[in-house]
Amino acid sequence: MLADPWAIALLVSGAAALLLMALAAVTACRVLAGWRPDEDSARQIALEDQTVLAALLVRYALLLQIFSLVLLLGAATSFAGVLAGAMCAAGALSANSFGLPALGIKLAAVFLYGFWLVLHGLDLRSEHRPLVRPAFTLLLLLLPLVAADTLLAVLYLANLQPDIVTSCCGVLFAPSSAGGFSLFDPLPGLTLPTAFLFLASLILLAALRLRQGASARTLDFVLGLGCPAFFLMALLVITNDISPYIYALPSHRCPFDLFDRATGYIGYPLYLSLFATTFAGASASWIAPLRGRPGLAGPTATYRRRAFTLLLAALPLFLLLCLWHPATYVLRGGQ
Amino acid sequence: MTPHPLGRLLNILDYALSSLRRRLLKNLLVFAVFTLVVFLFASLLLTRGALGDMAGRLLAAAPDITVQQLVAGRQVPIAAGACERLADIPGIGICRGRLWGYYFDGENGANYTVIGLPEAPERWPAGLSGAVQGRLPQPGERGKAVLSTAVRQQLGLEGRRFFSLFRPDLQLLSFEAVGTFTASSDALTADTILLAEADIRHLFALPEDQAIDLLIDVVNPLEIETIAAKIADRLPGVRVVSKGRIAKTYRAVFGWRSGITATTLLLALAAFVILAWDRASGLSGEELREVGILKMLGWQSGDIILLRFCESLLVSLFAFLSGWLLAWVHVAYFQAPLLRPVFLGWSVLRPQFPLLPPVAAADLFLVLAISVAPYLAATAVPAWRAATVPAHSVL
Repeated sequence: MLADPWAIALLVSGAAALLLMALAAVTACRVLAGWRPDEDSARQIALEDQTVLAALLVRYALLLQIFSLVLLLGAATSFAGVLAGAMCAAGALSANSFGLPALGIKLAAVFLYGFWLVLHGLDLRSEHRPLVRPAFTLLLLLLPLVAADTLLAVLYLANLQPDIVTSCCGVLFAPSSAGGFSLFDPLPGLTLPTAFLFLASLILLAALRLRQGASARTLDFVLGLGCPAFFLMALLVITNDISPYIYALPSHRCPFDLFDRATGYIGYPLYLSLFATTFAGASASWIAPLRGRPGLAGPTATYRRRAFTLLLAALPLFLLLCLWHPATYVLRGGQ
Repeated sequence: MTPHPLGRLLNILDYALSSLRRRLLKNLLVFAVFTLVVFLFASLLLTRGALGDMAGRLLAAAPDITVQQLVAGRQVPIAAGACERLADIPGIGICRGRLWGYYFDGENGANYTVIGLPEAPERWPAGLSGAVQGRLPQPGERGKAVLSTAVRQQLGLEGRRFFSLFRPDLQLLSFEAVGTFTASSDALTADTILLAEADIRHLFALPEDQAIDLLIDVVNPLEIETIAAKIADRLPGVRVVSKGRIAKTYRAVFGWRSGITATTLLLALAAFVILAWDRASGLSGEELREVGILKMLGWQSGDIILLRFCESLLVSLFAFLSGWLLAWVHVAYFQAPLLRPVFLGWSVLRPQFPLLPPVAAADLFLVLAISVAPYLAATAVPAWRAATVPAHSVL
């Protein structure tokens, strides 16, 4: 299916992101090889300019990556109209073994590019530029990720066969005992939603305490590990417990149909607020150890305050969107 | 006093507009080529959308399941009694044999689709009477036909009503045209001759106990695929085609054709990106001096990069809008003369139907992704190069 406008758009944006990141990596090599912060030579000034270029390229690559994430979802939705058996993006993405890894790696890439830009932004705010080496080493480590991302997209598109029957979300998220392949069996009971709400409360409390100025490593630890775990858990809970209420159909579990008009496009604010929560919480706690570096105490505190504010707005919004349909169902007495 | 971030952005946007105006000729070239690239991609997507919509509307009236008998991989007539063997499958509403075939006119190289009209009016397709000017062959009436305007022209009927068709044994059969399909049904009927079922049997020398294929309506649309699988199990050597499968095949074909065309357009895109890179890289003495002055006035490298980004964004948005509008006019008003042959191929009898492109947010996003994203990426390095010019070196 490489010859489809969606596939071409994905490949064009993937190739552009790879090119930009390759240029950024070349710049990173130059910077890492010649960085002498104490010198005032023309070479050092030129290298400082090069760091601006690298940041610019990563920023463009991030923009393209966000674009291509939406493109992949759009492409999968469009392919569902062509692939036998597929009814939404879930079926199209699981039509071969590269679709879901391609989506996963794109999600990870968006978070990592964003985190790199946070690091670089902090670095620019200190006249000592203390984060140049760690940031540019991380940039070099990101290059294989972008390459893998583009490769997975190509493999996914090249291996899509319209005549090979795939499954729809009604099968992928149904019990495997009902026959056939299942991505994950529905998890009965309230264990998962309870753990989800407990973790959400923990994150909210930690962010609130840290926003008020408390400095406790444990709280940062809770956020640093809790937010990524919360992201994964939220995806499970949305699929397993929340989506049947939104579709008003107990047997319909799907994380992708939430982008449909029939659901009022609830998927967009839902996932956007989840992204914001995860990124704000994780990035704010991951940069906590950098406070001690020269000139970074102020910029780190400012970023953390803003990130916690964002988290405290995004997480309640996310929980409200999640709980709205189950709550109205219960309050109306099963209507 | 630090300006408000939004105020700063608006000021830079304002400066970007005036900067574009000052270098109008240079920017007009990029704008024109960009508009052309957007126009080509957008026309492709709008034509695909219009044809997909049209296929969807036509398929809405199609039977849920079509059953064809195969021998050695080729379609042959099916036993009309096959419907009785399916009668006990729950969920099947109506099962009927259909009589139809292609008639090749050696005079002009055209292929007519000859379709049999069932004897019982209750089995006629809904809305058939409304699609005919004149009248339909009445039950029991022989030798009457309904033709499309295009078939009338191909047969050279002009004002006459009678025409003749050959049987396989070269016996000549005479028919009277009693009706003409209206223009609104042209997408379905452009190459059609409608005859009574008895006439079509006689014309194609088909035995009484055979039909060309079976049409099946299913009571619950959710059960179509399951019932199709049961039919395939019950009748050996048949091909069972469901309505959903036909719709998916149409989408795949339109997607594939537009994809192949888009692939060829990638060359145009690559050429445009190189042009954009080249134009953005070649800084004139005046532009260098401008950067120097801005830096002397206190602009930072980041501000100049933002300025260049705003310039690129403005050019791309204007080009995107104008390219899209031109594409819309090309498809909706002029009926896509550049792309219609790519999608529809060639035939002596070509249905005439209006292309009505749907407004789809997905298509807008797709064109943005294919054209604007690479353009912005191509101008990133030149923007940085312009921003890092040392002020003292140009003044």
